[in-house]
Amino acid sequence: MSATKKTYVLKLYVAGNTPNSIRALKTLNEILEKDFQGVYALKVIDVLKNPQLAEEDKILATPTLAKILPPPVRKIIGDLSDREKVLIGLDLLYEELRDDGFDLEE
Amino acid sequence: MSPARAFSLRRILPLAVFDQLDSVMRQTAQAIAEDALVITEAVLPPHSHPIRKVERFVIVISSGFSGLLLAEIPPGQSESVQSRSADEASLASEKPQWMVYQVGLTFESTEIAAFLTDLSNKLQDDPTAISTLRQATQKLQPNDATIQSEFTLRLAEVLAAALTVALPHLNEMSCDLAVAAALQQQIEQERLLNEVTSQIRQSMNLPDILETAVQQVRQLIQADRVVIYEFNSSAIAALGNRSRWEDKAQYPRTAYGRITYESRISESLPSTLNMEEGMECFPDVPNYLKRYARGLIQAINDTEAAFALSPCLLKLMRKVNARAKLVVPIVVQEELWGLLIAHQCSRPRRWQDHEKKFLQRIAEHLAIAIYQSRLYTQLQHQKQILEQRVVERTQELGDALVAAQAASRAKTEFLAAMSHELRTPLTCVIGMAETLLRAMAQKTDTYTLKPQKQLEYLKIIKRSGEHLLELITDILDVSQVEAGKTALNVTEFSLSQLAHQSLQMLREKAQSNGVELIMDLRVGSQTSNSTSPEDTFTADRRRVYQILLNLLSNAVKFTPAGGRVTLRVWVENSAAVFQVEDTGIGIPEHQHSLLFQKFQQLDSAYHRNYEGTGLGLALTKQLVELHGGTIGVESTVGVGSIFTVRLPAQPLTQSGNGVKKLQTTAPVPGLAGRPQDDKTIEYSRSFCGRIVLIEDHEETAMLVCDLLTASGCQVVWMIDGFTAIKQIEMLQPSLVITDIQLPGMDGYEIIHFLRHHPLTKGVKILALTARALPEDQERCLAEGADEYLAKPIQPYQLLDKVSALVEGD
Repeated sequence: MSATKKTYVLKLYVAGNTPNSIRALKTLNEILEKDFQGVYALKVIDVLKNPQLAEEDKILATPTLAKILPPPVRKIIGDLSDREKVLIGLDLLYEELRDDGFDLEE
Repeated sequence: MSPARAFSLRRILPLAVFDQLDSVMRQTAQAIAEDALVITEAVLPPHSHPIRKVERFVIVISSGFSGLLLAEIPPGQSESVQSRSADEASLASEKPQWMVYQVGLTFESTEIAAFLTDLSNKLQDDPTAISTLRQATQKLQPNDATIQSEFTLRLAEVLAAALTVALPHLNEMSCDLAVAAALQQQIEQERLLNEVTSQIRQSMNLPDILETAVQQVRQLIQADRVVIYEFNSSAIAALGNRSRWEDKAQYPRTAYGRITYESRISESLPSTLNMEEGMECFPDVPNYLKRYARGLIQAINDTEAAFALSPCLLKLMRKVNARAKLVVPIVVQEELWGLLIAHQCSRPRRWQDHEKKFLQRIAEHLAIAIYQSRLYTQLQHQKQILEQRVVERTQELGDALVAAQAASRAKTEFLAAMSHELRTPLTCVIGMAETLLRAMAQKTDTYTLKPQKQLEYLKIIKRSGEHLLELITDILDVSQVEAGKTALNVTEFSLSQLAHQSLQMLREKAQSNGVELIMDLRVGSQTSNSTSPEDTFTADRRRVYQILLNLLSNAVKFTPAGGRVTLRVWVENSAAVFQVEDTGIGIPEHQHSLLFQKFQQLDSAYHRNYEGTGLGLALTKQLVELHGGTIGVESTVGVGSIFTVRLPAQPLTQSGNGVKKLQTTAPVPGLAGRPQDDKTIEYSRSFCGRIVLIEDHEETAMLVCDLLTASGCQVVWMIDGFTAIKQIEMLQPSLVITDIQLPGMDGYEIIHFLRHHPLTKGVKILALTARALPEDQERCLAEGADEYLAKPIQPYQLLDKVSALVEGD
């Protein structure tokens, strides 16, 4: 893995195709397009369709964005309209974490 | 003195004649004198014993004519039968006329006097009677000759009349005789019928029954010959509904039947056994058959006369010496079976009704016997069939049992081997992962494991995982090919690239085994970047790759250190030939046939010496055969083996069949491609773009996400199809990868929606389907997918297709 191509795993919890949810995805999409340098895999979870997934991840409100990888896990609740907050939440405003390679989810 | 001598008439006559004689006597006497004395048994007192067994008597005494007429019980008849009470005596005239008596008539005075004396002895209580009798006795004198002769004439008249009365009686006697004879015959017939029926009941052997029947019938009706003529049922059936033959050309070639049983009065008569009658004599056969079937009896008293106008028949009859014949049909279940025929040979014969009836009844009984025997034969036949079936089934069951036992043994052995094979890499995976985890749990500065060590562990984990994957793929492939579910995914590819890739795959293992790998390519250019036409081949690349890997890994496995394994590739008559030669342990010739069987490693001792499932060669053979190719082996123990695979080029006809683009890019080794370079999965180029994945299966989605992000793609993964389609509009991805089997909105609907929505109709779509059937794939394309990919996902295939689609713009 090269340092410039860090892979992120993100989860976005939405509740159906509500305006809030769509807006959240749209905002996230823009952020990822403009400010994000890495490679991401974004898992979009509809909590109405897959409530068990939301429960496993202890999601209490939608929309919620969760960064799973790289650690630490962070959750951002809301429609992601606060761009900076999102970027901080994604650790994008910080230096890269140490590059010793292997992170596990525990 | 014998009283019989004194009587001028003494014979047995019926009572009626006695009465007539009685009246003649009285008339004669009264004609002479009014005072003629007539004494009868009525003068006797009641309950008196008869005089000298005389039941009735009449004594006429007159001047010129006297006589005594008496009736005695005939000798041998019991007295009591005819003794009567007083009441009955008064009814004497009413005694039945058929009663016969010993009737005596005398004119001798002494005889009459003696009877009168006896009578007077009986009447001693009556002095008047006695004196009358005495006077009468005194009156007795020899009869007047004229009166006597007159009486005799009348007597003759009466007796003549009595004779005429007796005559019908005599006729009756002869009638009785005839009746008795007829009865006798009837009894005889019944006896024979009984015999025949009892035989039918006792015996199931039809020939015996029929043989006995003709003999006994012949004896009973005293015919010279009795035969049974049996129809040939197929010939009868061939007749159809034809009523008669119009011309000779139509006569059937085969006989209707033949004579099957015969009984002759003597050996000198010509035998008719097995005779088939001349066809030309019976132009009217169909009609006759119908009439016989209805029960017609044909009786011919004189064949000479009856057949005077049919010379052919006449000739036939003369040949068998039949002068008269009687034919009755044997009808079994309303179907004409045959004929029972009696012949009289020397003379004409008038067939009697009872004979006809008798023959008919015999024929009926024979029909029953035939029917029973037919049923019995059927039963026997079915019984035999059933018995045979039981034997066969038992055999089959036995075989199946043996096969099942063998299979079960093979399975057990296989499972034992499998569990060993599966556990070994799993132990590595789990053990190494655990060690790593424990190390990770500690603080960075107290790492006990150096990064170099960690890397080594990860390599081991990866290699073990790959080995496991290989094993599982092998097993699945075998079962898939066995179930006939594998279809070839024919593509164009480079033979040299494939060969290099295969060797590359095994290089490490060969090195560790100390085996040298040699490539002998004879397909033109060996550089992978430019291809000669010879180098391009069409087949299922993955399968061919598998074949080569199996053969090579086998060769490496069974070749001791210092040995060589050579891969030769050349093209011959548009068929690719792959040859793998090793300097290994070799295979004894008698085991060559076992080589390609499932779950078979040739020596179970090898199980421990050489890892493997024993599936490799069986699968290889199946894959080769799937391509319509051949695989052969030459081997010498201790020297080495040469496996040769010949694959014909596959036609590239199937529409929508995989990547049609020639894969000339640098080898895409996939995850397992370069085990020595563990650092990454790096590709010669990274294609970028945003990709939306719609997949509900977590593991598959994770794999796709990892593969794509590793290639530098941004992936948005959605679980639910309905949610996805709304957001795809906004995300504007360059590619949508969608699973087909989704809950709720399925893949086909998603594709359909995307293709019909203005904002998304230009998006590239790759369908994932677990159903590898051609019709599923067709449907994906028909709904509007650009490509499809069958699960399980092969990494290089996925990346290939994705890059082709993304860069295809």
